[in-house]
Parts: sequence; C-alpha cells; structure tokens
Amino acid sequence: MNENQHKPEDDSRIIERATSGEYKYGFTSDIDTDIIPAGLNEDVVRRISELKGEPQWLLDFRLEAFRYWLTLEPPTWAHLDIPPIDFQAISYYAAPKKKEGPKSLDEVDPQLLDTFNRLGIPLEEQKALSGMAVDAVLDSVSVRTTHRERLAELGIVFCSFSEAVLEYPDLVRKYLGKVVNYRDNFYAALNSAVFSDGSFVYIPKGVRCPMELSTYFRINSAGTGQFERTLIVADDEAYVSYLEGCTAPMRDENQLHAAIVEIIVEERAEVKYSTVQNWYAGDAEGRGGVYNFVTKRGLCRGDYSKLSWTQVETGSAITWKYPSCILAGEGSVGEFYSVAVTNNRQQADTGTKMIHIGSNTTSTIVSKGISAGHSQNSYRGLVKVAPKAEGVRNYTQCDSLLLSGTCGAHTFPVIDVANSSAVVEHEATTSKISEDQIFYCNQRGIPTEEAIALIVNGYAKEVMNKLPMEFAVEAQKLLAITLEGSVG
Amino acid sequence: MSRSDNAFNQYLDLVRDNAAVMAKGRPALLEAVNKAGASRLAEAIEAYKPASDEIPECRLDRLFAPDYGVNIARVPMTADVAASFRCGVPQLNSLLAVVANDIFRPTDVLMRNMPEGLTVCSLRQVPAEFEADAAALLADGADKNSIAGAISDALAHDGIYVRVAPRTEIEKAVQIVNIFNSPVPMLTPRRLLVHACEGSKVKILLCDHTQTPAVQHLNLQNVYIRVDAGAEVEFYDIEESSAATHRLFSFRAVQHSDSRLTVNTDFLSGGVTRNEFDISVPGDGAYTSLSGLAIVSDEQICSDSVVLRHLGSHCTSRQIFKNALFDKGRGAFGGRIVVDEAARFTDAAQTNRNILESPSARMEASPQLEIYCDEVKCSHGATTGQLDERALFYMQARGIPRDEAKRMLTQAFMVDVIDNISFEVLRQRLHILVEKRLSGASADCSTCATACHSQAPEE
Repeated sequence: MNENQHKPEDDSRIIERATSGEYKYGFTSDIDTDIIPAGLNEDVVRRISELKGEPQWLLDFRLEAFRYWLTLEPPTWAHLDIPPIDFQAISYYAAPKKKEGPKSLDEVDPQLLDTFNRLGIPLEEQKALSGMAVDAVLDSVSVRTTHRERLAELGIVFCSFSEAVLEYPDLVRKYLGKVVNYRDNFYAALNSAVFSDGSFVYIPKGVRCPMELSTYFRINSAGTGQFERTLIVADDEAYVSYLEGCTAPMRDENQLHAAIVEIIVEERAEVKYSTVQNWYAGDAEGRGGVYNFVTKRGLCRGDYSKLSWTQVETGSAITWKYPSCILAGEGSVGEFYSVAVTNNRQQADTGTKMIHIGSNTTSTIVSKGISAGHSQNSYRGLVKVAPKAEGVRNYTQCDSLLLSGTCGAHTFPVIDVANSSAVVEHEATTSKISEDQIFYCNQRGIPTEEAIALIVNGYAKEVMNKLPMEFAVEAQKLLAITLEGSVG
Repeated sequence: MSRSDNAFNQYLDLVRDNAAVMAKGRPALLEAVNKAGASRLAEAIEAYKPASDEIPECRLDRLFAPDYGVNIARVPMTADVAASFRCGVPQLNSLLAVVANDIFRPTDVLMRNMPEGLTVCSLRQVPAEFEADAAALLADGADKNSIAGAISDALAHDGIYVRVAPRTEIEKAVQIVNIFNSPVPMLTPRRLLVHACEGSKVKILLCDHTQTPAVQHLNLQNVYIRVDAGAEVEFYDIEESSAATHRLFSFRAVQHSDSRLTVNTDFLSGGVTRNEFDISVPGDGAYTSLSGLAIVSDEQICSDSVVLRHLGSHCTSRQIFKNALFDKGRGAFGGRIVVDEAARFTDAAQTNRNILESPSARMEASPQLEIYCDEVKCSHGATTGQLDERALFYMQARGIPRDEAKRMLTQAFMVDVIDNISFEVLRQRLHILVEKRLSGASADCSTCATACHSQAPEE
C-alpha cells in the first residue's frame, strides 16, 4: 500500500500534530518598567493622567468614563466562557523606565531591540527595507517612532497618543470618543478611564500616505493590562493603510487587553486597517493566555468614503472583537475580511457590524473561521439598514472549517432591514476538510499533512490576499504556527 | 408595581382566586399541569426580563397586558359550532375536530369515521389505557422556559390528545379548526398533543379563525408532537384571523430514529404572531422539513423563531421560510441549528428569503448555526431585498399592469414553500389562498383553506 494513501485512522494523529505547534514567540524581556501597583480607583486614574502630564480636559474625560464604568457589569451575551476577572488585581500602567528620549537607535535599550529582532521585525530592517514607519509600542508607552520627518513633510501626523495629546490637543479633543463613546460598552468605558498609550494618525486633506503605517503592540509585563487607544483620522480625499500586529510572550496568568480603535473617514477618503493578532493563547490545557476584548469602529462620515478592515486572528485565549463600520456618508463603502483560527482551548467571538445610514452605501463581509482542538469559534455580525438608507447593498459570506470532532463553530448573524430598496445577502457554510480533497492530494503524491496545510491556506486565501504585501508573509507564518505546527 | 408585573400577575391572581371553579370536574391529568404551571409562573414573573432585541409589540409583557377574560368556568360557546363549521377542504375527506374558543368539540364526522388505531379526544376524557401516555406528553411538552408556557399550563382546562397506534397509517387528515367567537376580549389556552407511535403515519392540519374580528383575542397555542421510531408526521398550520387576534404559538417536537417530520406554517393574516418552533432530534437517521410563508401587511407582525437540535447521527433537515412584507408590516426570523457532538453526518440547511414591498416594511433575520461536531454539512442563507425591477419591466412591457405583475412575482416567490407541501389538496388550496390574499381579498372564514362555510363534507 502506498504510504501516502489516506487512512482514516491517521487523520486524528495528523491533525493533532499539525495543530500542536508550540508558541514560538514565548519569551520575556527583562526591561525595567514603572508599574503602578495593582488596583483601580479614581486615584489610579488621576495618577495615570499625571504621569503622562495630561491636560485637565483629558483627566475629566477619564474620570467621567471611570465613574460610568463603575455602574456597569461585564457583558455576558457572547458565546464565550469567560472566567471572572478581578479588575482590582490588574496593574493599569506599565512604562519602560524613563530615560531621555533616544535620538538614535543606539540609545534604545539593546534588550528592547533584541526583543524586536526575535520577533522578526527589527526596527532597523523595517526602516531600511520595507519603507514602513513603525511606532513600536512596548507595554504602554511609545518607545520609538521612525520616519516621522518624512511623514511630517506631507503634513501627516503619526505619533504616540500621549505625544498627540501634548502636541495636537485640538485634533485629539475634536475626535476622541466621537466614534466609540465611553458609554459604548463595559470595556470601552474601562479603556477610556485608564488608556495608557497608543497611536494617533492624522492624514490631511488630499494626502495619500506614501507608506504603510505600522504599530506593534506587545504585552510584556506580567499582570499588566494593556489599554491601547488608537485614533485615525483621514481628512477629505486622504488615503492611509495602517497595520497593527501583535505578539505577546508566554505567561502563566491571564492578561487583559481592552483596546479601542477609532477611525474617522471624511469625504472620498480611504482607510485600510489590517491586523495580525498572535497573542499568547494559553497552553494546550487552556492555562494562561491573553483576553482580547477590543472595541474597533470606524465612521465613514464623508460621502464616498471607504473603510476596510482585514484581520487575521490566531492568538489570545479569548477574543471578543467586532471591528465595525458606520456608513453615514452617501455612497460610502465598508469592508470586513477576517480569518479567525482557534486551537486547543481558545475561544473567539468575533465579527463585524455594518450600520448603513447613508444612501447607496455598500458593505462586504467575508469571514473565515477555522477551529481545531477543543476551541470554540463564533462569527457574530450585524447588518443594519436604516429606514432612510436607499439603495443599500450588502453581501456577507461566513464559512467555518472544523478540524476536530471536539471543537465548535458557530454563526450568529443579525440582519435588520428597514428600507425596501436594500439588497442584503447572507450565506454561511460549515464543514470539515472533505475526504475527497485529501484523497485527491494524496493521489498526486501530497502527504495528508501537507494536504491539510494546502487546503487551509487555500481556504483563507481570499482574506490573506487583502493584506498588504509586507504583512501577508507574517500572517502566513502565524497561521502556520497556530495551526500547522511542523507543516509550516 | 411595574407594567410587566401587572401583565402577568393578573393570571396568577386569577388562578389563585378561582381554584375551586377550576377544580370542578377537572381530571388529575390537568390538575398536575395547572399546579406545575402556577408554581413556574410565580418564578417566571420574578425572573422576567424582555430581550433587548425583541420587536416591542412582540414582547410578552405587552401581549399579556390587556385584561383578557379566561373561560375557566368552561362556558360553552353559544354558536352552533357543528352546523356552521362543517369544515373540509374541498375534495378532502378529513377527520374534523373543532376547538370552540378553548373547548374541544369532536364532530360527528370524526366520531363516526374514527379509523382503527386512531384516538382523538379531549384531555378531559382520555381513555384509561392512554392516561399515562397523555400525562407523559403533557410533562414533556410543557414549554418550561417561557412565561407564556407557564401561563398556558396554569390555565389549561382542555386540550386535544391524538394517538396513532403502532404501524397504523391514517389516510385522512386530522383537521383541527380553532374558532374564536366571543363578545368580550379573551385569552384562549389551546393545546394539542400528538403521539405517533412506531411506524405510524398521520397528517394533521390546524387552522385558526376568528368569527368576531373586532374583539381582542390572545391565542395561546401549545403543540407537542412525539414522533416514535420510523413514524411519519405531517403538520400543517394555517393562520387566517383578524388584526385584533394575537397569537403565541409554541411548537415542540421530539423525533426518534428514522422518523420523518414535516412542518409547514402559513401566516395569511392576523395581528401579532409569535411562532416558536423547538424540535429535538435524538434519533439517528431522521428527516425534518420545516417551511413557512408569511404575507404580512397593514400593521401586522409575524415573528418566527426556530431551534432545531440535532442530537443523533445521520440526520437531515431542510428549512425554508419566506416572507413578503407590505405596508407597515414587520417580520422577524430567528433560526438556530444546533449540532451536538454526537450528531455526526448531519446534513442541515436553512434558507430565509424576504421581500420588502413597501418603504415602511421592516425585516429582521438572524439565521444561526451552533456546531460542535466536525462530520457535518451545514449551511444557512438569508436574503432581504425586493422584486426584480427587470422582471417587472419585462412584464409591464408585455401589457401586464405593474400591480398585477408585482402580485404575480410575489406569488411566484412563495411557490417553493407551497410546493414543499406533499398534501396535494391543501397545496392546491394554498396556491389559491395566496393569490387571493395578494389581490387583497379580505381574510374572513369564507376564504379559509378549510372552506368552513362550504357545503357539508361528503358523508
């Protein structure tokens, strides 16, 4: 018998091997950090604000959010089993030890540079080779920003959130909390109260950002929640492609990440937001791992504006994330492309909301879920058409692939149409890799292990193709690590 | 006291204050249901919280709020039911039973022609040999998660028990006609229990009518069907009532190995209708077909929710629901397919298609899949849109007026739901009914699928 021939009893063994890849980025860097002791009260909020030297209006914003947060309960509607979180056991601020700002890469903590090197994204290389401007966020404070000068020539603002608060207070004040109000949900309120840092991007009228903007988030200190706040504003006829990538070192205790991303897209402007998320997902028994509770939303305010979300979610123990588009401007376009991979005991409840308010708005949703091990992977989506939105068009496709008999794949879409001229379509399928496909590959000399890798890659390709070139390679690598282990 | 407390507490008070009236002549079977219902109701009122995404008009605290009368004293309906409701779909030799408001009345046709192996009786008169069976159905079929189920149980004083003996095929359809006729607003708890024993076959047709269309009416219908191994049940439900008639329809079924269940629900007219289907398939190799159509106009609301649980392996299910919404009509569809870890080789498909024919109509769809097993093939699809402009233009270009063309296309849209019905006479009748409904014929009894006022059945 040909050894490549598919034998059913091999399946479970091969899938197990293929999906048991160890987390390769699990290491901890010893960098001195300032940490506010664990716990959350008004004093902590004031202290965070004080450490960052924030103006009074921002402190007021934080306090208002904090007081509102106190009245809330964590949401329970998602198809997730979230262990109770002790919000008082978390330290809400960790900053790398203060030094004089580095003038060149030589002044940056060598261990920090090493951390990035081990992640495979050295600043130097990125700066030199890829032409990307990287605002690297280690824990909570922006450590280094590159290519600032070149961007500044075009009038583009790309800096850490704390810098933006000090240097462009009017811009920040104008847009902060306009898309994601602190009253939006439990984690949005928490983030608004204690957000530490993040990125701020402003693309002025008519400017096309010449490079992909990128930020790496990395949770480094144990027991430190990271509360990023990203604000992107694309003014009339501007264009920007923004990349966000995440890896986190291996830790035994759960870490909480509750970020907010707000995007405002003005008339005829376009924003492309891509994420690769590979935070530590916990070990095979579900111990440890990052809780990723993120609120991401964009407002297509101007006519004919466009916002495109692309995400590859491979990490985190629990993911609760719904990048959304409010399509208010006439003819505005929203897109959502997602690959969510869960393995072992991971849980993901992710999807999108497309709120059509303006006429002739269109949206596309393509969601690919891949579940393995004992994981639970859900798509949750809302497509809402307001009564006055004429000629709305939506197409939704969400597919699930099951790689084990013990995992779950779920789909919870809601379609709410209040205008008779809308055309809204939703399609979903769930299946496992078919025996026929594997047999076909086997016949042509491709071993089952490689065949599975091939099929999974092909399945996710539609979304991977939407990622910028620089990111696609890493995304594939992460997909391989999460799912394919030695297959690569 | 909040409004929602009032809405439900009135029924609790009613049961408490009238214990003696209700106990009169009540069999032990119903006594147990009443007691269980009352105690669940007290708990459910405490725990009641309306879902945030519910259509406000469909909220239970609103539906139960009016001061409805409940016929706990079992006052019979004055109209001569047997005379005015010689019901039968033309050319159909059906076994007819009538539920007058909430009291079961077998007809002569039924009593004289009851085939061997079939039992159709009131829950107050279940033959001793089947008492244990009826009690088991009552207990299993109770809607334990809903406040409406608790009220229905607490107030139950009648109901229909249908049993088909093993390996018996009932050729004629068992037809149950619900009639509402009352000068005062009323809540009518209605219950239908069906036990299709091993290898049996039966067709059941249920239709709702209102003779006093101006009077407010809440129809609390509870259906439970147990389909034993190898049995086959077809269940058809046609609602054609008035704008003042609201309906809470709870349909539950359990399917055992190699059984077949076909369910078809058609909303032609009514007020606020809330249909809830909950079907569990623990058996292997079972087939389930669920279909429904709704023509919703004026300020009508039709909300369908389906939960289909595949627990056994090698099962197949097909669902198709279609809605056409006119005027300020609102529709909602919530469909959930749950595939258990043990449900290997499940093949489940669900389709929901909706047409909005007016700017103020509204549709909410939420087709969901919950899958815990990898050897499955599951899909769902939902679309909401409008009639094809090009098709309309094509027809208009050939001299068909726009309204007529629209009606024809809407009718064509509904065809695959109707053609799903294997019960031929009913299928033909429904084609005509849908056509009439779309051309604006009023929904009185004369247009009923069962042609209530037609000539006496051929006996």
